[in-house]
Amino acid sequence: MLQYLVQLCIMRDTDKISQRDRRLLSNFPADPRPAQKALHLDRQSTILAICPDDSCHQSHKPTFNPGSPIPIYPKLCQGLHFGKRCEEELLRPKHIQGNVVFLPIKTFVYFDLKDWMGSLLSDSDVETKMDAAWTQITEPRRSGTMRDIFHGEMLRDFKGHDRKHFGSEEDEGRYVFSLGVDFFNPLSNKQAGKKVSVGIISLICLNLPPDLRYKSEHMCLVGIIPGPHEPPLTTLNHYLTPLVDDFLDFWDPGVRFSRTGGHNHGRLVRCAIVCVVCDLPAARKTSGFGPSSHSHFCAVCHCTRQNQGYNDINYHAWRKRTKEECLASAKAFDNAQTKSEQDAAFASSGVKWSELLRLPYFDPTRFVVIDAMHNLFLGLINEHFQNILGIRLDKDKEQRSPTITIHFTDTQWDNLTETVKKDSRRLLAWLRMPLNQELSTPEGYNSWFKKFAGLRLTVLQLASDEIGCPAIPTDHRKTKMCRGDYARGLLHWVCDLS
Amino acid sequence: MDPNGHAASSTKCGHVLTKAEMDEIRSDIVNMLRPSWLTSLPSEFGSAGYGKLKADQWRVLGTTFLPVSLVRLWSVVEAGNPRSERCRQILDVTMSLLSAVAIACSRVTSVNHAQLYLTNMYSYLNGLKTLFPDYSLHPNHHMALHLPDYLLLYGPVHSWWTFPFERLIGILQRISTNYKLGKFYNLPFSLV
Repeated sequence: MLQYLVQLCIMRDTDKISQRDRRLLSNFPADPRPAQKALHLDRQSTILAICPDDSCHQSHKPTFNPGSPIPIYPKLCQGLHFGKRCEEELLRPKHIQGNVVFLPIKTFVYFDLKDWMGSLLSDSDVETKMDAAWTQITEPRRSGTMRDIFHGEMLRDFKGHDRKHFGSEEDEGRYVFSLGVDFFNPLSNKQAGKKVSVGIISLICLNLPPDLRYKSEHMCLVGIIPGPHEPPLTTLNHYLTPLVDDFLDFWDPGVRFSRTGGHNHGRLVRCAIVCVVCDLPAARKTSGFGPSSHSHFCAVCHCTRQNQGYNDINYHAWRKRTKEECLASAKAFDNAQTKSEQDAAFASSGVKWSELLRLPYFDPTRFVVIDAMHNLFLGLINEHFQNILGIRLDKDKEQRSPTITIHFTDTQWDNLTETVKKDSRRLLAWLRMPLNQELSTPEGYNSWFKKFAGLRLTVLQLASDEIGCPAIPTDHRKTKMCRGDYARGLLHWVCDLS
Repeated sequence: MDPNGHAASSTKCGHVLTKAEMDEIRSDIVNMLRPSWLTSLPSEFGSAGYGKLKADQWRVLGTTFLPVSLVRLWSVVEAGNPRSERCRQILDVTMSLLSAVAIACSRVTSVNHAQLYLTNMYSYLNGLKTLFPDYSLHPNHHMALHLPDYLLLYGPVHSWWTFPFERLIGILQRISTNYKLGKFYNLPFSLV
């Protein structure tokens, strides 16, 4: 259709079509792909093969034969676990047009950071704004107020690879990023839905002014960690490896772009990750700290559950962790030769190895921020109003007050096992409810009958003994009563009460 | 016991707000004139069937609606009523928490902000421990006391909280898929 319109436009003034226009019309693309290619709309990406073994997750970069676009992956997993190779199958055969091709079973698509940086810097307006961010550090401020991240101590004192302030080199592009790792359920959080967890690794360029920074077109999606479960323990590291490799290049020697929006003759760009912004569990996983149920539950200080515990609030006495201690503990964890040695190292410090520690400037005690959204809104405010003040979530509890009191005698009660007790409690709660209204309709009676008959036989037997309502069998010749018979008896008793 | 079945000065957690008070809070939310850009709350929030509140809904609830309602309900102490006296104390503790949160989430921050936050958070946790001796604190309470360090290091929270990342997740969740996991490469990414 579009082709026809173009043809009409060309033929508006003349019947003859020039050679060039004829070629244009005959090569007219049938779908948007050629345009995508010509304008570089697709981002460069690498497909890594991930070990399908849930305890390994080792990532493998593809290699290419010269001149061939077909990626080649190792056949077996190369992951090393205490000197032993994992050797899980990585590839599966696939038939494409009669040929057998081996494709990775589990893949991780890594979007190239250098490519993304290039596209961001191709806009001269954006590049100027990003360079201007560093001027905020020197500009005078009234009485120490901070309005943006550049006013914080961290970036005011951040040193580059040359020991000078990171933002002081004006010829080079010096940019800082925050890294976010988070897990979510792609099938949306439905109560009865499937529980699937997929991760997302993304970057925000902090040099952009706040009004541009959080736009989705300026946020960098590094990759999506495939599900269906979160990678356990330190295996998240394998997904961070390509990103950390790129950031090492960006730090020293830096990456030279042949042309940027504002610099026609090319420019050297250096970048750094200056903070890791995640919710508490993901932050711990990314930065190599143990979970908050570990003895060393805090990533900032040396508090332990045995000595201080969660209840201690005397924050002046808390001893802070230092970068050197964390690095030493993480190295001890990484260099451990056996599983037990590694477990011992982890138990004593609560620190595991993280790929981010390969970045020479990364300080795990300061770079991993406590997320205010999760900590304050979903943590403290939620906890305070829901559990401490009691905004009740259960409607049943507040509406239905007990009409009668029924108890089991203590001697009977003490002999019950925990599971039977649980069922009995449920039954007692039901019996105490005002049920008459619901039982008067056949639907209501049937639904309650199902509920009662679903309980354990011992519980029903006991209740009918205690209350003194015999079971009502369907057939009066029956001697052995089943759950339905007892349930019928109990419901009959409830109906009789009214 | 008072008529609603709540102990007059129970130290148990989760037994402070009565049903009547919850209804007051809900009607306050409905009746309050509020700007249209303010995140709206489910009318029957707190009841089962209305789902969990989102982070931003907790923020709005905690920083706008609840202070108004709770101050109205609890600030005047009836002489000789132990429940009223206790509610007044709980109100004070709640207000220190909400002030701490408001200070931490301010668009501008400074050394004074961090100090003030710490004072408020500390008095909240202290109050919590005296009013509810059975309540054991969570790791979140511990981490909240470390937060001022980060205020000084990184400035105002808007540049280092997870709202933007969560929004990105929201965009990804809304992309229609074939519900087959592990085929991400074939998805049309409008983002990348």
